[in-house]
Amino acid sequence: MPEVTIPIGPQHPALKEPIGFKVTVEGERIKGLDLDISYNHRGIEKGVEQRDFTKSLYMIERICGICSHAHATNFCKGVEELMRLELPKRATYIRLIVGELERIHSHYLWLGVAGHEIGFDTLFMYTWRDRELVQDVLEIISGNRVNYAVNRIGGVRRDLDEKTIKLTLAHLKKLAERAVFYTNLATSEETVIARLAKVGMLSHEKAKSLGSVGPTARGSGVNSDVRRDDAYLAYDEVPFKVITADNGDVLGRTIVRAGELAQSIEMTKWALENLPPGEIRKPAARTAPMGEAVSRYEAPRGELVHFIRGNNTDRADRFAVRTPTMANWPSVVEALRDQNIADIPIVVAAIDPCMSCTSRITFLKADEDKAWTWSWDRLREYGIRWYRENRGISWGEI
Amino acid sequence: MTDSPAAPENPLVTVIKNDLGPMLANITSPRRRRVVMEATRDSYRDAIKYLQEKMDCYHLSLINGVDLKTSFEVVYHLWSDKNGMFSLRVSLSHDNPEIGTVTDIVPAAILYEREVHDLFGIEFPGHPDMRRLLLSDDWPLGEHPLRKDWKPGEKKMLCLVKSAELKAAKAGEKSA
Repeated sequence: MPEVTIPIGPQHPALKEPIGFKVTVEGERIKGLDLDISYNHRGIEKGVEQRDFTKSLYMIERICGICSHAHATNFCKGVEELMRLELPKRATYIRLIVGELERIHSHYLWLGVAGHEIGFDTLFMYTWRDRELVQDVLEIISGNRVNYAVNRIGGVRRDLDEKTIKLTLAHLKKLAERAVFYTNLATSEETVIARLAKVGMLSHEKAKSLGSVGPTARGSGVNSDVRRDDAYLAYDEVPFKVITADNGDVLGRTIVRAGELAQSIEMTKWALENLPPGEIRKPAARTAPMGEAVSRYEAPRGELVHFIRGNNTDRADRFAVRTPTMANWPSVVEALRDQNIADIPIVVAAIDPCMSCTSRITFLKADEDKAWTWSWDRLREYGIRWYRENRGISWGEI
Repeated sequence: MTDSPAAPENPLVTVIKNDLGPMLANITSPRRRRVVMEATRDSYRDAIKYLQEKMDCYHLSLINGVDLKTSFEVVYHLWSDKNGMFSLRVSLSHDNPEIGTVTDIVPAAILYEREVHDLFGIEFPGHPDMRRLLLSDDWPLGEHPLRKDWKPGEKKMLCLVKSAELKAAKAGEKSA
């Protein structure tokens, strides 16, 4: 059968982000894959070179809508390393708590997307409902569902009071119950196993040599996690296990993420219960001395690297970002070789390429010149009431 | 906090100095689990192979470029679970920045070298597939936005590039 090259994307129904594939197929089998990721370059590295550290932080937080805290923390960490600034313990714990909550929300989101890609939309509905619990906690802590703006150079901007801690712990209890459900689902639900096992195979050796990171690498048995191997914040104090799976397929990546959910919930709980008292920030200098820092962070998608070069001024001479998705693209090309063309969405989704979300709603009546905003609670109430009255659905207590 | 500068005496610095002494310069350890060193265009490949074989660096974290105005630097960041991060910098001339690819010894470098090529205009002879990666197809040729002398808005922007010019440029890029 002759080989045919077909373009998929950059806009397509399978993925929500612009990426172009040129797939060479022989019948239904994929023989080669060419990626075009040039649709989203925003010049953030150049932008950071032209702004001082405080302003850069706002920009860096917006590199990604889902792991915004990962980028902001990693940058702060690097700049603080250049400034030789020791953080108060409480600040490192708060950063860690928000970081782990972010991982929980990101993994729930991924489980839903993966369910959707394999036509298991019930799973999508379940996980995204549960994800709202984390989103609520993040909003209570930071005031935002995305872009939490918790960090500043020298510490954090928001403290956790007793009420917040109590409420977060109550939510975590429910989340822990659900995490058990999803772990069982990933390991024993027949439809999931039938669809994901042996799909998108990535061998242990290839995962290492192609530089895969995060759950993609750990799903192929690579026992590596920045939180343990290059401990930052308070990760050397909080007990946790690095989850790996030897499957090497999409199922392995699912098992790793489901397991990490449970771990992150336990870690957040432990950190909240053992939160050290004291200050949450230290005054920081405006300028960073000459020097270079390579800052690493285990983002929900894997190792995130920032390279920061200081030059005695209030801005970075060079700021380079290596996101986990970038590191995982070569492994996608490898994992799709000789697969079925219908596997493209789930194999690509298995590295969890980033997506953005936001939730505020602003109403505008241009002809009356009126604008008003609803709070999240009001919008949520409205949604629940609307579904009960118009669709007869009662969400009940979740 | 564990990221604080500590233990300036990293035993690995001495080991590398003994093994590769004349090939490398300025081997230092700025903090725990970090070693920084400088190589030349003649020695960087041997140094990377040494780090892979002797220091257990299986993972390439990042290759990034730096524009120092009078010269360029390419920095290879290799990670080992056991020994930490090794950053190997190579200085290149500003007029003709060029350094041979490492994709044959580190397959993970394939996208990172393309990124540095896009944004800094540093050439990597021997790279199997040096096409554009991050810049869009109609970005003018020879414009490298992360160079210090490149300012947004100063040069002709995308919309001004005529399609004929672009086609000619593309044909040139392919044959090169």
